[in-house]
Amino acid sequence: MRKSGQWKVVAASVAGAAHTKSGKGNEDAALCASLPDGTLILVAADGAGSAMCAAEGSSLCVQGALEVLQSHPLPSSPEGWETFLLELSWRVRSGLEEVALETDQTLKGFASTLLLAVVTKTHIAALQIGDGAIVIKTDSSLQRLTQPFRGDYASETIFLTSADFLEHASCKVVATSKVTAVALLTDGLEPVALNLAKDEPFAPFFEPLFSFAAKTDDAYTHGPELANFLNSERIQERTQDDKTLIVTVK
Amino acid sequence: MNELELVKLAENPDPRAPCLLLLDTSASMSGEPIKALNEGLAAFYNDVMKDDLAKRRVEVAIVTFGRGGVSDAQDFVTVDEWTPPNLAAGGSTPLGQALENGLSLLKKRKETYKSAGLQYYRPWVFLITDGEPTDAWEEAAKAMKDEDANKGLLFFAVGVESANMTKLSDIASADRPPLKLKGLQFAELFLWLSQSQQRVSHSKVGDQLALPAIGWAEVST
Repeated sequence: MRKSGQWKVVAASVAGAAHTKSGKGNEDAALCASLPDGTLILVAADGAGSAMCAAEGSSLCVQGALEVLQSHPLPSSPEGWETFLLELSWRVRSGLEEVALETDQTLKGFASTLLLAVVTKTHIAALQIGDGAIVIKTDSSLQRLTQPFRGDYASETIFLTSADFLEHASCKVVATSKVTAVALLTDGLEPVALNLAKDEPFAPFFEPLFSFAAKTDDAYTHGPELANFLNSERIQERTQDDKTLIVTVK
Repeated sequence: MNELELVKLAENPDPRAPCLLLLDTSASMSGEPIKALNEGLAAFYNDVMKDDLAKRRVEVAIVTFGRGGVSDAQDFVTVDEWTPPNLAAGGSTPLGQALENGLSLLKKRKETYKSAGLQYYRPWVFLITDGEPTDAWEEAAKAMKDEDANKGLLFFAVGVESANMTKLSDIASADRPPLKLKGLQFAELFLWLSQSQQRVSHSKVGDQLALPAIGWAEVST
C-alpha cells in the first residue's frame, strides 16, 4: 500500500516453523489500509492453535474490523473512540458467529486475537484483545499502548470469541502529535521484541525497524524484505510460532 | 546498509513446563516392573532431548515412595540437565506422604519461578502405583485434587498390574479417572508423556491442548 498522509508503512506476516511442520498454514492475518481521508488502519490477528478454522478466524477478524471502519463515521474524541472500538469488537465477533452458523461450526472454531490501530490526523486509537503488542514511540519513550491479557501461565490468552472478551479488551487513545512510530506484533514475536520479565518493548529491536520503515517508499518492495527477516534463522531459532509485524513511522 | 541486520533480539528465559513424577518403588515393583519403569524414564529423557525447545523448557521432578520411605529423588531440573535415575524397589507404599512431598516441591518451584520472573505452563503431576497406599492419604489426595480443580496443576493417576484401581479412583480427580497401564508398557507411557510435554512447551494456554492418543492404557468398559 502507498504511504498514507505522512506515515510510511511496512508489514509482513509469516507462518511459523511449528505450523509448517504440522501442515498448517499461517494462522495469523494482517491488513493495512487507508481511508479516503488519509486515516490509516492497521490490523493484525492470531488464530488460536487449536481452533478448527483458525486461519479463517483471524482473516475474518481483520476483514471485519476494516469493514466496520469503512462503513461508519469515525469518532473525534477519545471517549467516542473507546465506545466505537468496543462496539467494533462486538460487530466483528457477530460476524464470526454468523459464519460459524452458516458453516455449522462452533464459534470457538474461529478463535482469534485482535490487534487494531487507527491513525487519524488527530488521534491514534488502539484496541487489543488477547496477546501480542501495540507499541508506540513518543519523544520520551517506547511503550505498550494497549495491554495484553495476562493469565497465570505462560502464553495464556483470551480470544475475541471468549465469553469474557469485553472484560479483557484493552482500548487506548493518544494524540497523534505525540507519536512518531507505531508497531503491531502478534505473540510469535514477543520472545524477541519484548523484555518479558518487565513486559516492556525492547528498544534495540524496534529502533532499526523504524529506521527501515522510514526509508520505505513503497511497502510492496519492502514487505518481502521484512518477511525474509521474520523467516531468518536467528528469529526462527527463538520462536516457531506464526509472526506478524506491522510498522509505521511518521 | 540493511537496517534489518541491525535489529537486536531481546533475550528472554524459556518458560518452564514442570512435570512432577510420583513413582511407586515398593517391594511389589521389584524385578521386571522397576526395570521397565527405569527404561521408561530413560525413554522419556531421550525423546524430550530430541526437541531443542522442549529440552530447555520441560522440568522434571521425581518423588519416590517405597524403598527407604518417601524420597525427593529429584528436584525440578530442565531435561537437558537431567540424568535419568536407576530406581530400586523395596518397602511399603507411603503414597499419601508422596503426594504431600510432591505438592510441597511444586509450591516451592512456583515461588522460585515467580521470584526469577520465569513464566511457566500449568504443571503436570503423574502418580504411578502398582498397589495401594499403606499410609494416611485422604488429606493429601484432597489437597492434590483441589489444586487440580483450581487449575494449579493437572493430576493424572496410573495403576500398574495389581494396583487397587478402586482406591486409585478415590485418589484421582473425578474429571480425570485413573488409567490402567497395559502390562508394563512404561516406555509407551513415558513416550506419550514426552510428546505431551513437548506440545505443552510449544503451546499457548487458553487454547485447548490436543494430546496424542493414549495407546498405553487399557480402555475402560
